[in-house]
Amino acid sequence: MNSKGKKNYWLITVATWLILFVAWQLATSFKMVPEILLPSPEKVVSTFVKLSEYGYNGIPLWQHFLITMARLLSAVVLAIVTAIPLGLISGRIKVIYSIFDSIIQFIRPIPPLAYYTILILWVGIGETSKVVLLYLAAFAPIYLACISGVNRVKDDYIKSAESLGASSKQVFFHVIFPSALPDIFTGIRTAVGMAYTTVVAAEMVAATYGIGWMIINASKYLKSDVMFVGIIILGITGVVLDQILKFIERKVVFWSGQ
Amino acid sequence: MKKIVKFLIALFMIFLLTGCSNNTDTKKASEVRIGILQVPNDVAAARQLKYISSYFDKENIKVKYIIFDSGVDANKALISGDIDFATMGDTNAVVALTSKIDAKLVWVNDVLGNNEGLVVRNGSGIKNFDDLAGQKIATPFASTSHYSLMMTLKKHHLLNKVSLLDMDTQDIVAAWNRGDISAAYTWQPTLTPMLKNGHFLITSEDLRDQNRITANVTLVRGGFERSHPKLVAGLLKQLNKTHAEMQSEPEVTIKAASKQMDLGYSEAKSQIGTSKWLTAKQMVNQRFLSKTFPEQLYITGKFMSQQQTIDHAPSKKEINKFIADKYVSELGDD
Repeated sequence: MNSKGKKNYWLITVATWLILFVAWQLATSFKMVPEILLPSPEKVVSTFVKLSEYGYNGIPLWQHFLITMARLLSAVVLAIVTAIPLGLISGRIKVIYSIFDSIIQFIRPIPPLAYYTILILWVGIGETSKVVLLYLAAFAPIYLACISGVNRVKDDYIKSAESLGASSKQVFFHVIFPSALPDIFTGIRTAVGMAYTTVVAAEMVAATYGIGWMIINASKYLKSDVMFVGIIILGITGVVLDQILKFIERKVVFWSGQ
Repeated sequence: MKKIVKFLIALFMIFLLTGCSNNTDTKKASEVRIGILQVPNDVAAARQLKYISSYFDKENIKVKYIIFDSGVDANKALISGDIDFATMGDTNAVVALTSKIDAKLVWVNDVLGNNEGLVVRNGSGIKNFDDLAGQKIATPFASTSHYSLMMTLKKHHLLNKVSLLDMDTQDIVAAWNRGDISAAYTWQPTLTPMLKNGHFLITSEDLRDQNRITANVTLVRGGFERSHPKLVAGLLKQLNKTHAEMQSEPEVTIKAASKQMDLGYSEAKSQIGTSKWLTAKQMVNQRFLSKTFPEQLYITGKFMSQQQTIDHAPSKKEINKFIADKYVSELGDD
């Protein structure tokens, strides 16, 4: 369509947010909803300012944020360095595929909270159990994306490369890997999303900092304003993270979709 | 575009209409929902002895029990109106009070004794309070145990020298068994397995002797209390009966509570420990609900707000409004 049509849709999005915000403001300023269920926007903003200034539970807000991001990042990096090789090899070699695929298919649909308590018994209450939980959430999407990426490489490409005398190593790194890269990136984006949705659960047990922990701790004292601040931070961060990944994707696999 | 705006406004109105909370329960109660703790207390005994069910049967009302690990979730259920009564630690009652939950404190189930305490692992080298420095101590946050622990740490100038871990009671036992923690302030029944290879450093009984009282209390949802005061009085009468019996023939009461909780008699007895079940008459005579306990709640609230766990300390006026002691007064005058 033309650019005018596009502009209209963008306006609708903005209007939706504006209406939601006005509704929120009205509902709280006319006291239609008890404050404990829905704190006013002013209260949420002032709580955010207060938290940024004094921190939560003696720890600055940015540290809560950084530790959560560090847990997420280490889990995703760990998933990338393990799931990509395993996924690519599984896509190429049937024996490897037969060994790993069913296990991963079995673990993939289980809600992480279901095995979290066992993870805690196995690896303890420290950082390891939290990162492992996020890692398990992030692993499968990357692994599966790699397999489908490899399967989608046109046989012609591989055959032409081989007929030109490329070794299987060269075929792998110069034909298969680049062809699968767009799929891998989609997998990484899904993986970050999956790990991100698990972040609060990961900080539920025996954490002493982190945005997810802050939300849970605030809920114990029914501080809905702090919970709102935490939720909004997580929401915005989630969108930003996805945009960053999209940006990197466009830079690295610029040929995708062409 | 206009249609969408209209749709959103309509959606918003629906949201508002459903969001409005009614102030009183109008219809006749057909079911009473009681939030309980999984401990051998007066509710457990009164349940086993069929005091509660026979009273509500007469009123043609069904009774439903919902188990909570601590008052944290009971408070949430009170807000959403999913329960009518809830037993919880008094710190959670303070949270309910400061966050303006529509609820009233009507009963003190038990004044805590050695059924809550700080356990340290045998052989961990922790001999006195100073040895706690640098240790990980687990406790369920927002609970009476948490409060008692913080008071103890503050007294010994250890507040910033230990790392506190927020865990549910079952997680504490798991972490204790794994050796992740060597100290925890928690309550029964989790204390029993931990005391097998651990010992008390301090209990809530010691704190009680130092005039720092913690207690389990019962809150009633405001809407329910306003429209069914008779039922509130009726339930408390049944609980009061077990309190009186606990003092005249404790074996019967403890046996009933143990049966309800699927425990052995001696197990239940040690879980109840030195907690005190005051009768309504004793509460009236000791001016417990009108003077002693409000003062303790005031101290608790002040301490919690200093620790920034609640955003303001409740005033004495707020506390007196929160405690509906008329039920206990009526019961105690009989």
